[in-house]
Amino acid sequence: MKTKCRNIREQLSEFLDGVLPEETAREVSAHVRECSSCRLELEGLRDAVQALNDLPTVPAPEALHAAVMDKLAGGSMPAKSGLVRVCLRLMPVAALFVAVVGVTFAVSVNLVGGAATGSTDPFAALPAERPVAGESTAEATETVDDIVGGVVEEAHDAMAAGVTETRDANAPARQDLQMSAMRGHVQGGGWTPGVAREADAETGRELAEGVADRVFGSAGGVVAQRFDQVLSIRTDAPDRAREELASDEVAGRFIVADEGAEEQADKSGPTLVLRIPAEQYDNVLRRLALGTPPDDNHALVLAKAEDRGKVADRLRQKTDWYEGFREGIVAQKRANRAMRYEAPAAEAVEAEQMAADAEVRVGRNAETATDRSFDAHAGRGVGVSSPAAARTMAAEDTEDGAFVSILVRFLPPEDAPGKERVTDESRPGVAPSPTEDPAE
Amino acid sequence: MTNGSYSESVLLDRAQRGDVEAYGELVLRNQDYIHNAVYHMVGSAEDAEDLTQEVFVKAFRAIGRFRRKSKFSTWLYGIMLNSVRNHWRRSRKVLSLDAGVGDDGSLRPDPEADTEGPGELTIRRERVQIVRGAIGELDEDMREIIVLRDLQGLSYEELQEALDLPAGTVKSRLFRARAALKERLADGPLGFTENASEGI
Repeated sequence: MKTKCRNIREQLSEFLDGVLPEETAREVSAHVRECSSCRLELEGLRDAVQALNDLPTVPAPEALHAAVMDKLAGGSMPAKSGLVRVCLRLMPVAALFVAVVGVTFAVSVNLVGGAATGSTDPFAALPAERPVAGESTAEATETVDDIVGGVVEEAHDAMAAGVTETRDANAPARQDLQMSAMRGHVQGGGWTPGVAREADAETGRELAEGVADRVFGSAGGVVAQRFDQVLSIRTDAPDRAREELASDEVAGRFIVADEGAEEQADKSGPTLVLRIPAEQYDNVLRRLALGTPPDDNHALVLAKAEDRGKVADRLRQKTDWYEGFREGIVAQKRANRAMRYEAPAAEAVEAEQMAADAEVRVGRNAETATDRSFDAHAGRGVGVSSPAAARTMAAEDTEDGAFVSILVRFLPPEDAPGKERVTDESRPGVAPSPTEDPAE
Repeated sequence: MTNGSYSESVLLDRAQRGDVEAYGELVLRNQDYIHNAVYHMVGSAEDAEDLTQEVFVKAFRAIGRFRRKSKFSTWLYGIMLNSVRNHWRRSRKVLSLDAGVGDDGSLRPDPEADTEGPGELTIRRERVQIVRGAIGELDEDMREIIVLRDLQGLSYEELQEALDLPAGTVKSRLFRARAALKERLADGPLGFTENASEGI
């Protein structure tokens, strides 16, 4: 192609739009009259642009306006809406951490301190109403509470299902058990019997709160400037718990950084920042989960509240389901939340169906699990998070894409003397945002 | 006087003071073209609806920061682009998520177009699907600019603002996008620009 033609062609787009200077436009016009090749090029571009111009408009669905207004006015004012969406969006990650860290602390703290009550029920002392940390709005509190509640209850159910009777039988030496747990060793068919029999209600209690997300702003966004996730752990032995978790630094499993911890310690007890290389996120999950999933076929399942019992029964009764869901199964009111806060009305039926189908559709293979995870992501129904999906969701919101920073807070048990409900004012890492919207 | 009879400026004043109803009128006036742009960028009706909702919810949260140095629509396009880019980022990391986009990234025909109709109507629908499919094959930055310019009709200045690009980049990117689209259409089954590809 001649240089002249190349120069002309680079201007054909602007020529078509009539934005070239008059003199340049005359040059182009004269050239294309002379040069058949450039003339064809111009015609091709014109056809392409015309084809785009001819595309029919796809207007917004009728339900869209109502759905937007519902979000804005239906008890979900801007700030709350953002927070709820944040919680829902990354909830699989948070839930996974709640489930797995809870198990970890139930055993690891006890391994150091010994059983305080001798209870065979790892969560027997849990109050029926769980405290909620860190939310100022009733709506967000309710959501977090439901998320946490489902996690804790299902962990309770699953762990209590036939494994505690082995409490005193063939108990390995404390150190051995600790090591096997840390290696993700699973004894028997699915849930971690070794863990359950050593777990104790007095030493393990955790709550998760929402996960921060810089994309959506709101209070969560402020947290996200420093942390990708915030995890609250309730324990009466915060220093020991912190020490246990920090011990993985020695093992090289993940990086622990303490920056920012001191300034919050006086308000909420010890804190710990886990700074995890994104590529090791799976390993960290496995470390925390104890029952290490061998691959992405193992998923965290989030199902409708009313399906909880049924799902838990399957966990207990069916070996293959044990295998499929070894990592843990969590049922809670997520689907209902999704419909209430996230899903357009037109999708309510679909969300309902997805929730109903979840038990049989998820966890069998990674692709399905990932699909469901996205459904949760979009707030359309039931969510499932494979470790890989959890990792990618966490990693994508990391500033440099290389690390996931998690702020772990150690709070006293709910019934501890002097314990006060955590409010926004005392919420670590959350400060009034200088860029908050007036509407918030 | 109903909200529908107020000017955009008045509605913006009220919305910036937290008037949800006034903002609702702004949503009504702007939702169709935002949805159209999102749909042609992401290629899935379902995702387009979700993202369009997200755009307007985000916009309401941020409307206090809208300084009116640009048109409201241009400001909305900026928010829309953020949402769409986040969607693309998530889609790249979590595979097989978007039912509307094929494995090769091309847009699949939308369900409404599957209905058989009279011959002429069918051909027109096929043509629409081919063009939409060709858009879906473009790189994301090309998709953005070609949708904003040739579907939505933004001026070069508005493109600069919405895309936050210098004038030269807008011109060169638009040229590359149109040329790439032309090639894809020329290679398509209808080949309605095949003649234009000769001699290049």
